[in-house]
Amino acid sequence: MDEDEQDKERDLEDVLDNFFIRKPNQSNANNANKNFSNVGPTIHKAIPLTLRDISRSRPDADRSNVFITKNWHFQTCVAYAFVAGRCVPNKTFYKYIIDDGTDSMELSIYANIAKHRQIISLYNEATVLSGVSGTEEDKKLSGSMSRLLLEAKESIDASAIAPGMNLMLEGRPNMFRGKVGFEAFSFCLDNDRSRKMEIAFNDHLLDWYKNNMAKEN
Amino acid sequence: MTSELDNKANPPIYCDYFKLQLIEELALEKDYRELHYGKVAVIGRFSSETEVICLENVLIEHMPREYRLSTGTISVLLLDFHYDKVYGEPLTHRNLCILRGEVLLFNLEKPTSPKLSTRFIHETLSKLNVAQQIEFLENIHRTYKPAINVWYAKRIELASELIQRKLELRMLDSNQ
Repeated sequence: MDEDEQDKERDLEDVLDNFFIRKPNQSNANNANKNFSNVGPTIHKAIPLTLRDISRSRPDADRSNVFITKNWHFQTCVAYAFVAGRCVPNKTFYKYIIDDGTDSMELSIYANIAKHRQIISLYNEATVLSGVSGTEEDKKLSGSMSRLLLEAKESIDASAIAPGMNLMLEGRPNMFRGKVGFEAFSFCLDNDRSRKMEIAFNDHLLDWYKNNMAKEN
Repeated sequence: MTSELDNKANPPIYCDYFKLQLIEELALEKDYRELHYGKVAVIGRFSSETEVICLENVLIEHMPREYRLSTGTISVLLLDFHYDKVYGEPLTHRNLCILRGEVLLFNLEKPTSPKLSTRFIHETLSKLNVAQQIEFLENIHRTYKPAINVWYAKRIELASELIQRKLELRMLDSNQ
């Protein structure tokens, strides 16, 4: 019973508030919130950038994990680069020097060793299974599993990256001791003779720059 | 001539990334003080049939007609090229490729003499008087040719398309 009464009181209070005291305040507060969220800049994700612009980016003072370059706010970006050399790796990151013809910088890729080992053991298991005598169906299945796991291994194992390769990267700038590097979350190797991927990426980048630079001006 | 020499007195800064240069830009440069200094990426047709290994230009279809040069018109010398430096598919005569390395000046008359850089020319000029400068430049232009010291090579396709995109990227960069 007590609870019911309390509820009624609360209801009444709420209703009164709507008419008298708090409503204008609330609406003001709401408006303030709305304004704040609407006025802020668009925060982009996965925008194509040249390494020159990544090296010029700086962290946003108001928002964590947001970076600014050329008045564009972004959380993550994509880049296409050539691997020009190796740096000293540490326990958690593989490090390389990347270069895209506009600038060069250090690339760090998280060495996902636990996952890598897991996939390798699964791959070994699948290959062993495909060798063991079983039905044709089983062999087919384990064969395709091992092929699948081999593909997965390639996109996880960053230690396979070597100077001379071309990479498509997704990641974000990484500031350390005043130097801007690139921290990649995922990568894709592009080592065929065909340059279709590089051309397509460059087209995408040029389009993005043209459209967004025009907007700024 | 003095003012011309003075104007170009500032030593160039080493380009620390593989900037795309056209073979035309390197091979047809009349003034070596203006030659690109540092790392370079060039796209062209690999030529290894003669004694010297060189890289020939590729027709760039998107250029205005008056600036186009058909494939194989001019070439630039490759230094220190070895097939170990080719990444991926093997490179043979007349294959399209992208090379990355460094621009140097190579003495054609005395191949054993040291290779020069654009900065060396600037530094030497700054120590000489005008008459000596003119003589030095004449000597250099007569005996030396631009060449690429190759670090990485890779066989590619769609060379003309790729050059066009990379030139646009370069323009984007210089507009900033």
